[in-house]
Formats: sequence, structure tokens, C-alpha cells
Amino acid sequence: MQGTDMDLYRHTDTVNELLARYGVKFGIYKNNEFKEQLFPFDAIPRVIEKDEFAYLEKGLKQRVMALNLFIRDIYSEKKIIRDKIVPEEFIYASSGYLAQCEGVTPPKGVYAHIAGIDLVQGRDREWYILEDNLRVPSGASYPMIARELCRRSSPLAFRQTHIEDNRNYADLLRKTMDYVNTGGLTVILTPGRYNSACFEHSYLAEKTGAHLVTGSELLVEDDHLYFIDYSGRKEPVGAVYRRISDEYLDPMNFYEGSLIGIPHLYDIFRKGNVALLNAPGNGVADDKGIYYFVPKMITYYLGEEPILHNAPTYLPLYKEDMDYVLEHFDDLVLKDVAEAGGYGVVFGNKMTRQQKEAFIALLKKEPRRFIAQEVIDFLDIDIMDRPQSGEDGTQVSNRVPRKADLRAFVLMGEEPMVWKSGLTRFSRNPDSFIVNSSQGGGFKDTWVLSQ
Amino acid sequence: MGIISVENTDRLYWLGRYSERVYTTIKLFAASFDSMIDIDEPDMDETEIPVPIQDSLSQNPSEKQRQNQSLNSDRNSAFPEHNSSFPHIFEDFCKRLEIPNIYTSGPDFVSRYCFDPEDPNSIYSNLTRAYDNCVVLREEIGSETISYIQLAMYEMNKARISPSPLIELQKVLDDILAFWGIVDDDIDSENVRNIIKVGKRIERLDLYARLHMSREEMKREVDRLSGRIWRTCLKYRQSYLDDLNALVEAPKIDYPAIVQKTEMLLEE
Repeated sequence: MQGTDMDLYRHTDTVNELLARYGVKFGIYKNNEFKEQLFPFDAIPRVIEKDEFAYLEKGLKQRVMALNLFIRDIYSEKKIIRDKIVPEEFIYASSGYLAQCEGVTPPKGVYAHIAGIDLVQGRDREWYILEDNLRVPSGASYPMIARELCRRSSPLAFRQTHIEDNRNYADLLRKTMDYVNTGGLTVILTPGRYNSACFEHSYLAEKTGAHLVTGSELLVEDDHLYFIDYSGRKEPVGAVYRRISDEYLDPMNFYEGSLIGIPHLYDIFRKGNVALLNAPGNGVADDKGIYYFVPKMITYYLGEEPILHNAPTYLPLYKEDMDYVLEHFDDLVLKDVAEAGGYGVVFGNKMTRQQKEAFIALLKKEPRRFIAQEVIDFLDIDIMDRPQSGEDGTQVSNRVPRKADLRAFVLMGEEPMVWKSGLTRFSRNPDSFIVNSSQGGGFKDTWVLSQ
Repeated sequence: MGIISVENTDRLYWLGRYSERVYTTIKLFAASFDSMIDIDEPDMDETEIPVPIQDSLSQNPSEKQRQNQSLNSDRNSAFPEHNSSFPHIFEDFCKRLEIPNIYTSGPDFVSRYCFDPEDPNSIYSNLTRAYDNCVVLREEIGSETISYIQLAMYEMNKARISPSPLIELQKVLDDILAFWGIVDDDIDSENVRNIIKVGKRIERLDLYARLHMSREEMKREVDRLSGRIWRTCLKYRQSYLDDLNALVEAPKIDYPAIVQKTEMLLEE
């Protein structure tokens, strides 16, 4: 790979310039002001061997199938609660549980059509699941376009290495949307221009041939959803890949103050007249507290041993786990189950004595609010540091190790499909485990070898 | 794709208008910036003065300045009869474009009219509006087309901090011209192409009327608009289009009437 790496290094700036040219950005709000930022790209790819990915693929499919069965069960029979596999309070106390979804079965029975599963690889080479994202996981567009641009700038690297082509994500997504479409157009529903993932929404619309729409362009009438064209004509819509969160989706059924939703959308979803990808209510399954139970779900629903493992996790709600957490506080990372995007994550050993005391008091008061995990000894992966002048005056780039995770994408069409790539995010700060783009992280392409 | 929403129709139209507004106003600005190089401005704080202006300050219009003015008049300039003192250049500019003259000095005009994101009439603000419209049109016009407006934004940001803003602004013009080129070359839907172009034509006619451009220029723009607008899904008032055709043929051109008819040509 050495020659390949060199070829890629040389063109890192070029690729970043091209990413800027195509508006590959994400938006953040700082002090109530919307700002767009480029997502720094590192040209050294994460490389996953063919056999290793086959193992991941198997484990990811298993996990997402179990999660889908779990959501279906929770909003219908609740067998898993009755059988005391998952405690009731973990379901009903979860902010992701929506009572409105009780008894509702989505078209073709699929709940989590697009799942973003975050993994890390430990130094022991074992992969650990860090988080399941089953609501509106984002990030696939970045490695898609980066691959396109890297192939332009470093054709030699791609000629020399046999890699699965990841530009088929749009095809997989289209297949997923078409599978559940109830008859009519397919649209991607965006909150609009000032959403953090606006680039992704518009790029996926372009690549899948779906219409990018905002709520004001859709209308529910006579129990069906319509897209209104410029002449006022109504075109039926059969599938909505919605990139807005549950609470804003329909002011008549969820948050009534929502200005970006479509009134009565959930009513017609309930009647099976439109598909919503992903289904509302999925948050009950990607809650950080529920994460603890996913391996148990796999065994319960599929009768199989989990292929992929969770990071060792403790629920302070349980007395024995609380005791463990208090005893090993400095060795653990604590996560607020209601937070996302790298927020609400604290490391025991990074707190001052006062902070620790305050946190422990809060933990005892609200034990359901937090989970604790062993800090995984990540297998660092290299990124290119800023070029420096070498002894002969030439610019030399250093490879430096950084923490990185992998977001794998699993799409549920007629059968589960794992995208042979993924979003590898890394921390640019040598001392940080936080890889989120909103906190200054960068991204890499993920190469899955085809031979 | 065939089906366009009201919102996207609106965005395409305004993308056309704002990109044209940026294009034409940069060209106008370049002409006035050149004039300002040769004119002194009393009581100017030298620390505020951009290099090109500072280098050529003099109390009265120089011979070169007079030649430029004469040349500009011959070219049917936006400022054919302007007073040659420094403040009058941007006063005339604002008056003709019907934008408030909030500028306190030449350097203030250069800096704020071109680059101030808080000034709603600045070229920067207009380019931002073009950008805001186009970034959500990716599935209609494609990433390649959008990239030229994105590149124009980057060049505009470079111009903002450049001591020679016209050089960078020329690149903004180049990007907008490339944008127009790719609109023709890359967008399959004739309707989409034509909506953008009608936006462009309406904006240009509006600006040219405000600037009292020559009859030939006005006739050409009305012809271009007339030949395009019926090929779109846009609803327009045919009688107003007929009026525009008549107005540019009248013995004395009624420019305010052209502005009014142009602004009201499209139905709500």
C-alpha cells in the first residue's frame, strides 16, 4: 500500500479543494448563528480486508434485523418486556419511545430502513459497537463524493488496489425507498437550507433521483400525501425519506409548534398510505440505555449468539453496576443517554475532584439518565499531519496516529444490505476520543478490499 | 425530472436574478472603482484607503480621469453625466440603482457595497442569496452547476481581503459566466434552464432600465426576454410584455415605466 498511500498523499489538498468546490460542508449553530464548515478530509483510507468485512457484514445484518424486530415488538405485543429481557422502565422512560406509534405497522413491516451503526476497533483487533443510530443517521454522502474525487486525483492508487466501489450507495438507498413505496413519487424531506446536513440531503436527492422537498411542498389530502407542482397539480407521494426528527414531522401528532412538518402525515402513515423512512418511534431502540440490551435482543429474537460485541457497558440503575461504576469511576466514560453528537460524554479521569463529586451526586439522583462504559483502547489509525519542511527543504508530511470510529450503513430493503464502505471519522486532537464533525473531527474514506 | 414545485420554480428564478445582479453590478462597480482611482477625497483617513485609490489621490480630476469619463460616456456608461467629485461617484451609483446611499466615503463604499454581508444591497449579499437558492437545487441543476456559484463565493471572500479587489472580482465574473455556460450545457430540463434564464433576463432589463441604458441595449434585452419567457412554466402578463416591447420603441424611452412593467411582469 506504500505507493498507493504516496499517490493519495500528494493529492490531499487537491481533494480538499474539490470538496470545497462541490460545497461538501456541514452546518453548525454557534451563538445562534448558522455557519457552514468544510469537513476536513484525510487521504489515508481506512482499509478493511475482504474477510474482515464479511464478518462485520454478517454481524451488522444480525444486529439491525434484531433491532427491527425489537421496535416492532415494542409497539405491538411487547413480548420482550413480558419475558423480562428488557425492563419496562427502560422503554417508557426513553425519550425515543412514542406512544403515538403504538399499534402502527409501517409498510412492509420495516422500521429502521437506514441504520448507521458506529463501531470502533480495539487494539486487540476486535470490533466493538459503540452506538446504533436508527432515526436519521447521516454521513454516507461524504465518503461517496470523496471516493469520486480521489479516483479523479489518484487514478493510479485505484488501479493498483482492488476495492469495492462505494458509489453504489445511491442505488442501495433507491432500492430501499422503492421497496416500501406505497405508490407515487419518492421524496427526501429536508428541514431546509439551514440544517446541518443540508449538503447530504441535496446530494442524496441528486444521486437517487428523488425530489428534495420541504414540508411546505407536501400536502395531506383525502388520506394521501401529495407533492404540489408549480401549476398546483398534485402528484401522489409513496415514500418519504425524511431527514427531520420525529417530533417535527407532523404538528397534529407530535410537536404541535412544528413549522417544518406536514399536518396529518402520521395519520396516513398509520393507514399504510405512505412509507416514512425511517419510521417514527425508532428512538426507543437507539437509546444509549437500550444499547445495553441489544445483544440480549439478538439472542431473544433470532436465537443466535451476537456476532458483534458491545463495548462493556454498565447501567447505574442496577445496584451492582452502580457499585462498579463508583469503584472504577476513573476508568470509565459516562454518557448522558439523551445526548448525541459527542455531547454529554465525560471521562472519569478528566474530571476535577469537585466535578467528580457533583457528577456522582447527579448520577445517584438520576441513574437512568447515564450509562458507563469501559474506555476502549482504540486501535489508532494514521492521519496526515500538516506538511513540514524536511532537511532538504522539501515538504514532508508526517503520519500521526489518531482515534477514529467507523459508521457502517445497513439498509433494509427486501433483505438487509450492508454498504461496502462507511464513514470513518477521526479526532484531529491527539488527546481526544471525540470524533464528531461538529466537534472538529475529520473524515476518511473506508476501503473494503474486494480481493 | 419533469415535475417542479412552486418553491423550486421560485428558487430557480431568483437564482437567475441574483446571479445576474452580481454579474452586472460587479461590472458597474469596476467602472466606478476605476474612476475613483484618479479622484481625491477630502478629509479621507488614509488608513482606510485601499491601495489603488490611495496611490492616485488628487484634488481635481486628472487628465487621465477626464479621458476615462469621456470614454465611459462614449461607452454608454452607467455614469455618463456624473459629477466628477469622489462622493458623487457612489452617490450616482446608489441613485441609479435605487439603493440607499449609506456610505460615508469612497473606501467605505468600496468595502461595504462590495463585501458587507450586513448590507442587504451589497454584491456579497446578492451572491449569498444566489448561493442560498442554488444549494437546495442540487437535484434540479446538479452538483457541477452549483459548483460555479460555490467557486464565486470563495473568490468573493478572497476579494474581500484583497488590496486589489477587482482582480478577484474578475474571477467572480468568470465563475458566473461559467455558471451560465454549464446551465446551458448540463441541465437536461428545458423548463429548468429557461426559468433560470428568465430570471436573468428580467433582472438585466430591470437594471438596464434603472441605469438608462441605450435604446439598442434595451431592445435587445426585451427581445431576449420575449423569446424565452413563453418557453417556461412561469405565469406572466402578456399585456405587460407587449407594453415593454412598445416602450423600447417609443420616441422617448420611459425608463421608470419599463422598471415598473418588468417588476410586475410575472404573476404572483
